[in-house]
Amino acid sequence: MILLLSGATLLVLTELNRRAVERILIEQAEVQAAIATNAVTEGLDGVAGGAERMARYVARELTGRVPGREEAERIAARVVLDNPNVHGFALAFEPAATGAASARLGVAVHRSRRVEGTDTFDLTAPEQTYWTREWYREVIDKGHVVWSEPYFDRGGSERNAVRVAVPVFRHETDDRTPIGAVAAVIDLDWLRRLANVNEFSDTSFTIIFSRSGRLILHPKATYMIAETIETLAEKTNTPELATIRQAVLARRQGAAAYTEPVPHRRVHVNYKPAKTAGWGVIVGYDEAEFLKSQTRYRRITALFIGSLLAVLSGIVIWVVHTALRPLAALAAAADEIAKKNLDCAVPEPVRPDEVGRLTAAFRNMRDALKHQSLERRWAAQAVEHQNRYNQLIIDSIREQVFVLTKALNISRVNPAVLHATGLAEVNLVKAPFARHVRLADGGEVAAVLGAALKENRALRDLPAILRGKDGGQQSSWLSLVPLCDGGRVVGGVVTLRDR
Amino acid sequence: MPAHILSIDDESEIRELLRDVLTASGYRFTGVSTAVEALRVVRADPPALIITDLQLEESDGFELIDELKVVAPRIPIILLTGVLFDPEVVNGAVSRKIAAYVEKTAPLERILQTVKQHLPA
Repeated sequence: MILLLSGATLLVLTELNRRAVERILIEQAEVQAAIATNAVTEGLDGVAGGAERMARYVARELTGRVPGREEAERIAARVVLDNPNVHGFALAFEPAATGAASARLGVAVHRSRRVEGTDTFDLTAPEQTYWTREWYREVIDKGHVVWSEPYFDRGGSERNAVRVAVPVFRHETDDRTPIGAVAAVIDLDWLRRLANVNEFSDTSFTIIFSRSGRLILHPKATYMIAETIETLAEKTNTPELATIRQAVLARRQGAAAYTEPVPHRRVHVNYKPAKTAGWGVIVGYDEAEFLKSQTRYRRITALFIGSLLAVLSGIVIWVVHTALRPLAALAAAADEIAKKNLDCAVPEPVRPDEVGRLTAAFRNMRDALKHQSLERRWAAQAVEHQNRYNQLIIDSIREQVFVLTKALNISRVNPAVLHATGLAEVNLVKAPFARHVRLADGGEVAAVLGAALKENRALRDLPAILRGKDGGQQSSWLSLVPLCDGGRVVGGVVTLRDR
Repeated sequence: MPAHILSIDDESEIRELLRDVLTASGYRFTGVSTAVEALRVVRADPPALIITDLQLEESDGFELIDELKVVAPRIPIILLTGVLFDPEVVNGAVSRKIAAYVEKTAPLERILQTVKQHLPA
C-alpha cells in the first residue's frame, strides 16, 4: 500500500512538474513567434509600403502634366533600377491628358532577364491596350491606390508578383479626376527571403495572405496564389485558419493553437495584419519541437519510474519470498499447534537473520510443547498404571478390605467383600460400616473404630461378625489401620479375616 | 548413525511414548512386548541400550535380564517399571545386572537423561 501511494504521489508530482515546464516552454515559443510575426510584418510594410510610397511619389511628381514618351521611359527605368524588389514600372495616361484627343501614352519598363538590363514595352501597342487592362481601369475609375491580388506574372517576370497602382491627378488639390496612373510590379521572391530570415526554429513557418485571403506566401509553394486561406482551412481540416483571417480583416492581432489532423501535430500560431494592402501575416510552429526536450525528459522519467517500480516490485517479491512466505509457514504451523497437532512441520531455520531466529525459536517452542505434552501423557499413564497396579494388589487380597471415611462410611471395598456379603458395590459404598459389620462382644463398632481413628491408633484382630445379603453372618477377625495423609487421619482401612 | 534403543514393555502406550520421546531426541527406536521378540531383535539388530519393564506377558524382567546378559553382556540395560522398589532392594537384587533403575512415575526427562548417561558418546 505504501509502495502504491508513493508511486502515485511520484507520478502526480512528475505530471504537475511536466505541465509547468511545458507551459514555460510554450510561452517562450510564443514570445519568439510574436517577435517573428512583428519582424515579418515590419519587413512586409517596409518593402511593399516602400514600393507604394515610391509609386505615390512618381504620381505626385507627374501631377498636372503628362511626360513625353522618352521621359516616361526614363522615369520607369530609373524606378526599376533603383528598387531591387520592383520588377516593373508602368506609366499610362488618358488620351485627353496628352492634349491630343487621339494620342495615348503608355509605357512599361520591366526588369530584363538579362543581367541589370531592362525591357521597355509600349502599352499602346495592339497586344497591350493598357486602357482596357483591369489595373488601369480600376485606378482611373476609383481614383485611389489599388493593390492587385497576387498573380503569376506569366510572360513577364515568370514569378509571383503583385501590383500597386496609384492615380495621377490633374491638380494637387484634385483627387477626383485622374489623368493617368503609375503602377509598380513587385516581385514576391523577397517575401520568401523575409520569412527565411525570421525563422526561429526548425518547424516555424510563415503564411502571408492578401485581403481576399489568397495565399501570397506558404511553406508549400504549390499553395501560393493557387489557394486561399479558406480553401486551405478546408483542405487541412483546420477551421481555425478561417477564423484567423476574419480577425486579420478586423485588424486584430493575436495567437491561436490548433491541431492539424494530417500529419497529426499541434500547431501554435501568431497572427497580425500588415499596414500595407490589407495583407495578413501568420507565423507558426510545431508544439512538439519545443516540447522535444520535455518529451525526452518524460520518456526518461517514465523509464526511470518504470525501472524504479520494477526494482521495488522485485524487492516486494523478494520480501514476500524470503520473509513473508516463511512467516506464512510459521503462521500455518501456529494454527496446527493451536489444534494440538505438535507433529506439524516447521521450516528449517536455515537463515541467519531475524526470520531464521524466529523460525528456530518457533521450532524450539514446538519441541518444548511436544516434550511437555509427552511428559503429561507419560505422567498420566504412570498414575493410571500405578492405580491399576495398586487395584490389582488390593483385588488379589483374599481378606475383605473396607476403606472407610473418617465418618466411618464405606468408600471402597475389594472383590472379597462382594463375594462374602453377596452385595453389589453400589449397595456398599457410602453405607455406614456399622450397617454391615458388628463386634462379636456386642460393643459399638462405630464407637470403637471412631475412637481408634481419633487417636490414630491401629486395632488388631477384634472378633466381629459380617452380615451378608440374605441375613447370613460370618465370624471374622477385624483389624483397622488409620489412613493418614500428611500426618492427618483421613479415614481407615478395615480388613476382615475368617475366624 | 543414530544409536539404536530397544524397549520391552507389554503396554503399547508406554512403547509409543518412549518411541516419541527417543526418536525426537535423535535415537533409533525398536519397541517389543515379549522377551522372545526382544532376544530376536538383540541378535538381529543389536541395540546400544535396552529399556525393559519388569512385568512381561510371558516372563518377567528378571529372567529377561539374565538372558540378555548371556546374549549381549555389554549392552547396558535400564529397568523401567511401575513396581516400586526400595533402592536397597534394587541394589541387592539386580544392581549388578542393570545399568540403572527408573520408576515409571519418573518424568520422561529423567528417563531421557538416564538413557544419555548410559549411551556411548
